[in-house]
Amino acid sequence: MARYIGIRLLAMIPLLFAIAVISFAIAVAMEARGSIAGSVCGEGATIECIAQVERQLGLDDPMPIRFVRWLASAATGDLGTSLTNQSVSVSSLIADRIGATLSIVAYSLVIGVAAGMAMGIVSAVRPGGVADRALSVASAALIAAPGFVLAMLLSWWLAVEWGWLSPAGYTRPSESITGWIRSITLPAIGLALPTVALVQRQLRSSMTNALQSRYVLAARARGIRRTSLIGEHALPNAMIPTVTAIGFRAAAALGLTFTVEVVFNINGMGTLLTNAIQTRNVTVLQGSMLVVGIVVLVVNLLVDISYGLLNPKVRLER
Amino acid sequence: MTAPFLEVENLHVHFAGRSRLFRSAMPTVKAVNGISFAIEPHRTFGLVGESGSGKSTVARAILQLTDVTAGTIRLDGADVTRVPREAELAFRKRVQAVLQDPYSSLNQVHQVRTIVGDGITRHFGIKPGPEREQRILALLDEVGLAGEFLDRYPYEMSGGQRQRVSIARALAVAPGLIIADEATSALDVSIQSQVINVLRRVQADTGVAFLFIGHDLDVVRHVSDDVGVMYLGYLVEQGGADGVYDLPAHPYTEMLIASVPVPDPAAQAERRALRQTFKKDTEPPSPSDLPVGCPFANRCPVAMDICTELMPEATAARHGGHVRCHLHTSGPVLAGESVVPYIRSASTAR
Ligand SMILES: Nc1ncnc2c1ncn2[C@@H]1O[C@H](COP(=O)(O)OP(=O)(O)OP(=O)(O)O)[C@@H](O)[C@H]1O
Ligand code: SF4
Ligand SMILES: [Mg+2]
Repeated sequence: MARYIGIRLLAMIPLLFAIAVISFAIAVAMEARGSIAGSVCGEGATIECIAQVERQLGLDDPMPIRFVRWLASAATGDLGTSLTNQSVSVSSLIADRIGATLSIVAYSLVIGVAAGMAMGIVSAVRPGGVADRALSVASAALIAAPGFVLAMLLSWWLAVEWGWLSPAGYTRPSESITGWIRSITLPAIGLALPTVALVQRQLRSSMTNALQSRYVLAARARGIRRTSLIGEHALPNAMIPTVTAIGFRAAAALGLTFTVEVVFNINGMGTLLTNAIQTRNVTVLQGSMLVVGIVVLVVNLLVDISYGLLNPKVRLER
Repeated sequence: MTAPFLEVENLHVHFAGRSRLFRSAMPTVKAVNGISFAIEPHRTFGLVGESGSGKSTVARAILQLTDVTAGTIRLDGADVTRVPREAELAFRKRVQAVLQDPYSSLNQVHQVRTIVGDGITRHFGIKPGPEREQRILALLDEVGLAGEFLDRYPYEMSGGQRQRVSIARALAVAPGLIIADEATSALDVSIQSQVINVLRRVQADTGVAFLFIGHDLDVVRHVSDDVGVMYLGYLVEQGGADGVYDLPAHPYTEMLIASVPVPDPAAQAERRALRQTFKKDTEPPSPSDLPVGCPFANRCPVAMDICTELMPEATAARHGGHVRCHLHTSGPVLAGESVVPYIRSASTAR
């Protein structure tokens, strides 16, 4: 397993570099249209101001040099300062926002995977049965309806009508743990609904196959308990393809938090990025894209590790 | 003579075609149509027949993995045709299986320790630990695997090794009957005989009765004391293994024998000639639409008019068993003798 993880970690290095190049390149493309210095000097900028800022920020250097300089300081955790507010560092901006995004995404994955697995198992135990048909219709509906629309409906009852959860805004766990949970539950449910559907579908199909396989038949013939047939024999096999599906969904959920952040009025990475694009805040844009990219890589690593834990063949391969 | 451990009497297994909303009803598949045989302790009954003849269905019916439509199954004299839920565990301890295909019948995510050990835990209540470990090692030794296999996963083993693990897994609960469904069919010839030797040793050591299922009459005869030849859910011929092989009384049995290649060139040429007389490419009838007469009639080189009109009854054969074929009561009246000379003369006359 250590060897397997080591290989995955090594494989991350070129990906990390690619993410850095892409983040930098996209930001530079924005810069070509609206000048960074222009946005620093503000409206009615003088030529002197622009020239001075460009020299100060090293914007007149060739691209590769600027990239290496940016990457080198990024490696130390320094992502520069915001162009619209020179007194604020990009890292502190990200640190301020990333907690909301990560907690919503992680929470949504926990809800989505747990509910999806429960539904998938119930479906697979009696495929074609009443429960299976009801759950399959439900998951088809979840795929068809955008999750945040349903979450808004939910928010009407749970938050506005009954006041159980907060309808908008984000409370930090440092302020209040219960407040934090109340504030992220609705956005997390919104983000989790498509995950539920995806996991239910994938697990239903792989679990149905597993339960009809010869090794389960052999276990039945040995008198193995029904709960253990499902939990110890079929489920670990059926989870192998399901984990891959969850991995895709985790990356997609990170991309989608931005809609959820807008709907629930939460200041997270999504809003930070959109604002940075609107104000052509190149340093913030570069930095946040890099960080989001790294988060996606880490999620992939976690998925690969769980895949290896489930599949001895992958884990022990040399 | 010892009392049989397993008795199967007039077993029928039909799969009812379920009718569903918006789907036309599927016809009933008559997979097993009234077969009877018995196996004593220390003995092996071989069931042979082409793909789709219903061999695995017989195995599943005995194993309580599919519903019996009609007939009786007895274990040690007690009726086990439909085992109630509360008696299931006790039943499973007495009948075990080694299934077709060593690749899919072992769980890929379990180590040999778990594969062989979970039956011990289930049936003897021995939790994972040194005592269970000892038992597993003894079982592995019995099937000729070293202790290092404890930590192996199925993908780290060859087909023959996997099948040995399957045998150890079946032995783990100390059953009175082991059903081996095509247990050696997927293996190379040399590995096949190794696994067969393991089965023989196990039988000598434990006295377990075997139901050995296969499609190769040569192999089945080798392993078995008695054999039954299945065609389309019917047992068309049964008797002592060597008797059936040497004096086949049913044309289908003769066809199975002729389809096995032999090393002697003269004998091989003879078999090839014989093979050509059978309509090998003709499909057997569908088990959901059985003919009224003999199920083999459309492929039989010596079929008569009566064959398509009347199902032949079982009659005594020269080898001491039974045969279901009109040749023994109508037409040339072989009266239980071997069908071989008759088919030979019929094929040369053509
Ligand atoms: N659950 C089922 N539902 C409907 N038909 C079935 C079912 N199981 C088996 N059959 C049919 O019953 C017939 C006998 O199948 P069975 O698996 O017993 O044959 P077999 O002799 O073991 O063949 P093989 O050598 O291919 O294993 C086949 O026509 C098969 O399609
Ligand atoms: S009964 Fe007739 S068709 Fe059937 S095997 Fe005998 S001779 Fe052939
Ligand atoms: Mg079969």
